[in-house]
Parts: sequence; C-alpha cells; structure tokens
Amino acid sequence: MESYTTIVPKKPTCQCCKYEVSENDSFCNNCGFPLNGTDEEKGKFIGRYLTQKNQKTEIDSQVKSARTTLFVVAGLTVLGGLLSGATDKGGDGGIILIASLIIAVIFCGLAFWSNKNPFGALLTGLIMYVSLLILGTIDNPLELMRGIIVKVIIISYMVKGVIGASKVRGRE
Amino acid sequence: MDETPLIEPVPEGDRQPVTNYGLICRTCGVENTFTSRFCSACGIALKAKYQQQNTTQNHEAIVGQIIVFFVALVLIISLYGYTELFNPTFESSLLVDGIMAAVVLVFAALNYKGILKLYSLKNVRLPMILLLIIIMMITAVGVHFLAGYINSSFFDDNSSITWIYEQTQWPILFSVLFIGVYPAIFEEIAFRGFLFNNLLLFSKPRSVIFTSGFLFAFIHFSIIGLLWLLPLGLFFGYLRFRYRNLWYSSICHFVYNTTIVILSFSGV
Repeated sequence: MESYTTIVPKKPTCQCCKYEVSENDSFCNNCGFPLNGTDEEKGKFIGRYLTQKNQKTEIDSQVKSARTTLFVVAGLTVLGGLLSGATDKGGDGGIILIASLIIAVIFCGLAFWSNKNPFGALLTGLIMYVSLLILGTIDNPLELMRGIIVKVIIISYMVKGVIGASKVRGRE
Repeated sequence: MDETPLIEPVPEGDRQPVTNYGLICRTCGVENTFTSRFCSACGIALKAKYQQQNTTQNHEAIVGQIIVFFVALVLIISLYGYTELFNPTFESSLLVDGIMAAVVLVFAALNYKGILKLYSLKNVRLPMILLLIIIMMITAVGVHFLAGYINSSFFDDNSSITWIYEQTQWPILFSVLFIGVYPAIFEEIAFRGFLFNNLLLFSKPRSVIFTSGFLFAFIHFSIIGLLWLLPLGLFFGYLRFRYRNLWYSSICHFVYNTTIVILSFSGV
C-alpha cells in the first residue's frame, strides 16, 4: 500500500488502446488486452482488436448509407405522389398525394429512428419499401421496370444496412 | 474464435483495497472501477455489450428469413386483395387463409423451440385475462365507432368486413372463426412469435416491441387503420414481452376482433 502512494511512477498505459492501467492489472480495464500475456497472445489480441474496429467503421458507414437511402426513398415517394396525383384522371389525385405524403413521412421517421434503433428502423424501412414495390407491381406489372436500376440500388443499400445493423447489438 | 483466458482468482491480500462501489467481476470476484469494461484480473467482459460477438449466429440467414417471410405475406395479401386471381367467394378466402397459415407455420417451424416456450402457462393468471377481456371489449367498441365515423364521413365507405361470410350458411359462426379465432392464432404466432423472437436477437426489447408493432400495423395495408392498429400492435407486443407468452396477446386479439364482428352484425 505504502509503496503505491509514496512512489508515484509514471502510470503505465495499455499497449493496445492507450488507456491508463494499473501495474497489478493482468488485463486492461478498457479493452481487455492481456497486459501480462505472451507476445503471441498480445499480437493475436491486437489483430482481433483492429479487425473489430475496422468492422465497426464499416458497419457505421453501411448504416449511414441506408439512412440516407431512406431519406431518398421519402423524397422519391413525394415526387411520385405529385406526378401520379397530378396526372390521375379518376379524381383520386388528392387521395394519392395525401397517401404518398403519409408514406414519405413514415420513411423520414424511420430514418430518424435509425439513429436510436438502427436494426428495427432499417428493417421496417426495407420491408415497407419492398411491400410497396410488390403492391405497385401487382397493380401494374410495367411499374416494376420503371427505374429498375434505382430500385435495385435502394434495396441493396438497405439490405447492407440491415445486416450491418444486426451486428451492432449492445453498442450504444 | 479465441477464448478469453481465465486465470485463478486473485487472493484478496494481493490487491489494493477498493471501494465497495465498483463492479465485481462475476467470474473471479475482483472489484473493478465503474468505468471498467473488462475485469483487470481475468480479462472477461464485465458488461454484456463488450462480450465477443457470437460469430456463429448467422445474421444474414435470419434477416433473410424475416424478409422472405414478409415478401410471401405481402404477395399473398396483394394477389388476393388486388387482382382477379381469386374470386371473391368463401371458398377462395378459405384457400388464401390456408396458404397464409401454411406460410406462418413453415416459418414458425424454423424457430419452433422459441415459439413453443411462449405457450407455457406459467405466467397466465385468470384475473389478468378477465381484465384484458374487458379492456379489449371497450377498445373494440371505441374503434368500431371511430372507424365507422371516419369511413362514412371521409370515404363514403360502408363496406363490411364480414361480407364474404354472409354468403354462407352460418355467417356469424364463420365470421367469428375466420376473423376472431384465426388471426388470434396465426397473426400472433407470426408477429409475437416468429418475428418478435428473431428481432430480439438483434435489438433491445423496447425496439422490438416498436418494430413488431409497426410491421403488424403496416401489413394490414390501411393508412387510416394505422390509428388503432399501431397502438394495438404495441400493446400485444408489450404483453408478449412482459409475460413471455402468447396467451394474453392471443386472447386480446380474439376478444377485440370478435367484438368488432359482433358489432358489425348487430348493425350499430
């Protein structure tokens, strides 16, 4: 006890995450690095640590792209609603426009919610988007081919985001 | 995956005394500071969120299952509701209900262990059931009049949900069976069983309640309906989470739908 309070050595830091550690720690409190481990153990740990860190950055960017995609989908929905609302001859233009606005608001809401709950929000967004595509296609099969490339891009970004988000459980 | 090495517990005398307010490692009993993520003596993660991700869990497969499940549901619903593929007869509605039930059961079978557990009677209490029945009846009456008001004043739509069963010999019996009993079993297995269990693998319970509740409301494809379907979905999800069974939500679902059916037959 005395020795720790009288002699104040420069506090050692973790080789892996640079967090301050105490001399009698066997593992770093912050990252779990084996401070007294063999070189092999240390090397393995650092390798794993870096991989995880890279994975995190990758997942973050996937989730971010998916979020942006949701905003894009919301914008496209409003645009589609305006176009088909204006050209509708059946007199349902107003209802079509209001329905697309509500759907766009939901997509925006999901995009914001994905900050807090990325997996649930992105999954809901993806399912909603695909469902609306199916409904549109059944209503008019030619609809599917219109802007097919954009649709494929949207779905692939969303799928990547959902799978990425499924791996962040527990992270805040 | 590398195993975190476990070492012998450090004898108390060998360590500096620390306050009683730190985190005690469950593996070796050593106290760590509150901000610690890993135990300084044995290296184990002190909080679940720093644990090694279980890499054996196949995220892609589970996410795929959920998406395929919804695509199947939406395809059936929209083919039935928006095309001429099925005639609007009682027989074709039976066929569609049968196909839906089969889809739900196939996906439930993939996760049957988790779903069977939800049929345990452990947390089921009679007074609670009675209370829920009363709450759902009141809710159904409220929604019935609200929906009637909205549909007649904004959409001029007075179509009945039971019309398909009115062509049959026993309209009330079939309506209760296919609008009351059927969804209470299969929609609950689908949304509070299959979907809820799978979502729990990847997010926190509160998020799961919201996600499953929203998707439940969405699949009904009614923008006005969201007004009451979303709260109902959240409530059923809450019951599923809080009591860890499907009984309460199924009973609620049954009572709610049946009350609506009876009200619509009584013509009020």
